[in-house]
Amino acid sequence: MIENLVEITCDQLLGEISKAKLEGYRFVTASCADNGDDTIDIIYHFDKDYGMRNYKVNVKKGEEVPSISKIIFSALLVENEMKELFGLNITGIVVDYGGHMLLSEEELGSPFLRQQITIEQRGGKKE
Amino acid sequence: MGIISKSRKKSPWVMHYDCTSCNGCDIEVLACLTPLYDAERLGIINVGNPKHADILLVTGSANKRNAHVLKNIYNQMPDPKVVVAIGACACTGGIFKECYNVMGGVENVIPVDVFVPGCCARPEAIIDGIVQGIGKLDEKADAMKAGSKA
Amino acid sequence: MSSTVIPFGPQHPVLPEPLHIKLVMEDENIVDAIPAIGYVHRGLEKLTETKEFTQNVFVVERVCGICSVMHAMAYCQGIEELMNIEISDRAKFLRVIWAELHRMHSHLLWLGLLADAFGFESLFMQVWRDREKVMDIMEETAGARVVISANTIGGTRRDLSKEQMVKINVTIDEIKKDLQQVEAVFLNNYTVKHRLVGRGILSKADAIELCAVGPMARAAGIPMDLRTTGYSAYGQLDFEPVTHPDGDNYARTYVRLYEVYQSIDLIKQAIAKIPEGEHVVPVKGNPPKGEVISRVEQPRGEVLYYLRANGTKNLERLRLRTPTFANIPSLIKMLPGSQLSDVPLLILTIDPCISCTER
Repeated sequence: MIENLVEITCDQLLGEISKAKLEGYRFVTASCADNGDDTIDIIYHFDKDYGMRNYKVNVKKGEEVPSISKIIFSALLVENEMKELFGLNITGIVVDYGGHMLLSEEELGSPFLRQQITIEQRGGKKE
Repeated sequence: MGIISKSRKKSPWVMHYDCTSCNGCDIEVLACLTPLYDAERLGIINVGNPKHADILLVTGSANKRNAHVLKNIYNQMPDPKVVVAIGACACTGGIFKECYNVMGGVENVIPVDVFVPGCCARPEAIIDGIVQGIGKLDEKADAMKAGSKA
Repeated sequence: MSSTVIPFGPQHPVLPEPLHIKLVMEDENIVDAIPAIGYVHRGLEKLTETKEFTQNVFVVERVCGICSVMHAMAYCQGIEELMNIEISDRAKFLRVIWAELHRMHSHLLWLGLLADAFGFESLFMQVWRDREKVMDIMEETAGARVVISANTIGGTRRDLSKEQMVKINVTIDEIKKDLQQVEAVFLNNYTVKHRLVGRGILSKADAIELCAVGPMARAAGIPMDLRTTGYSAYGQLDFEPVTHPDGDNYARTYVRLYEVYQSIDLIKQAIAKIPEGEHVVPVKGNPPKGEVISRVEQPRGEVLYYLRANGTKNLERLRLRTPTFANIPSLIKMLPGSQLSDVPLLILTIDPCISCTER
């Protein structure tokens, strides 16, 4: 149902995103959905002249995902949000809130995950 | 009636803080101050500094992060003071009551004197809430006076 | 030179909403700005997973009171696409009329707040007096002032009578006349121009790089307006996106002011062209398994809804990206280099809606 949906792997991510940017695509946002098993879908939405292109990446929980905010600065807010709410392990965000952008300091769970895993300190060390 | 108690009754200064409101109640609070409803004709003035305010208007429910901001503002206000909770969210948590980051109504954080229902609360209801708050302010002032004499 | 950190917000007289920005200052100049959000976060996206898909219309309307009609519109369009529901032409026009009324009230609200931010109290009062006329129309046609719940899955919840449409036509004419009187103050007044022209410049290249949307992008000369894709009944109406090449505070004021005129024009066209018919079609069953993206132009820019259904009455995932969320990176880039006294105005010109941003 989604137009121009391209499934890619985590390793291809940075390359494909840079390519899309060079082609003049505007980054709209990224969406995240828990599949119920131990994987999470991340969809990066792009737009050019009102036509959309979407990249879907399927990652395992806890798998390292490279940040695209070095290529597209405006992705930093959404990446911080995904890191916080889904407990994704996104590395190298330009401005890293350390997993406490929306939730308070005491909160350690990732509320959007279907099976809760409480970690000692969310998002690793604060930068 | 002394000059302070008279001016408190005739011209209460209000301060507005938005907790997690959807803006609906906020813009209705602002609409109260503009020409159609014109709360200023009753002497009600909106101020930005809690140290000047008599009445605190709170919209939206409390969450874990803004609870301490709300407490901070409340503690900075001089006595006697009155809190008016505006809208369903501020009263009980409203539609967002079941959300994971919502602690429910404002009364879980600070004592509330007047509850104004509605989603969004209408300007007439908000002005009525403030007027009821003035009554409470008077009672509190009297109680303070009696307390200091005894 | 040593730098000072000044906290801006979360409670600030200029903003009705709690936004906290740490400003790193050298003298009066800002060298860095770090936003700290989270004061309004509720967890609304999670709430929608526990409610039925029909109930969610009321939840998404409360993402933001100021653009509630467009939120419901985007959500309903998404569900309708998923369930293959073709809504009637009349419903499409009705949606456009209410959406444009909402855009008018949002932009008038913003113009008032802008006047308040540079200390022009009487102009603020004047604009808000005109805005009350829009609110009166809303109350008369939908029964509420702000969150009007006009949309439902399959059409609209109410219909407009002929008399009501005539009255809307008369009232928006009055608003147009009133607005023409204050237009000169916003665009030509010496003092006002002094606060707006050349301040907070976002160039076209920066706007593209930082993915700005809505009036922010249009004020930087990018003619981007999702309404031109012709969703709902916009395809049958005639309009051009309002743009301005400068990208400063003045340009953003200009764009929003002229969009009020554009909305008035669109409502007039819609009332002239609206066909007869039913305003709602019955909806049966649950949304089938699938994903859909729905986009709508809000007063603040493009909103994106990503819906994932699994065949039950509950949605598996609802994700929404609101325009302010996309415009905050531009704000972070605009603040360094400006003066402390311009900060409230600069923050205001992106028309921040924190409630949208954090949900």
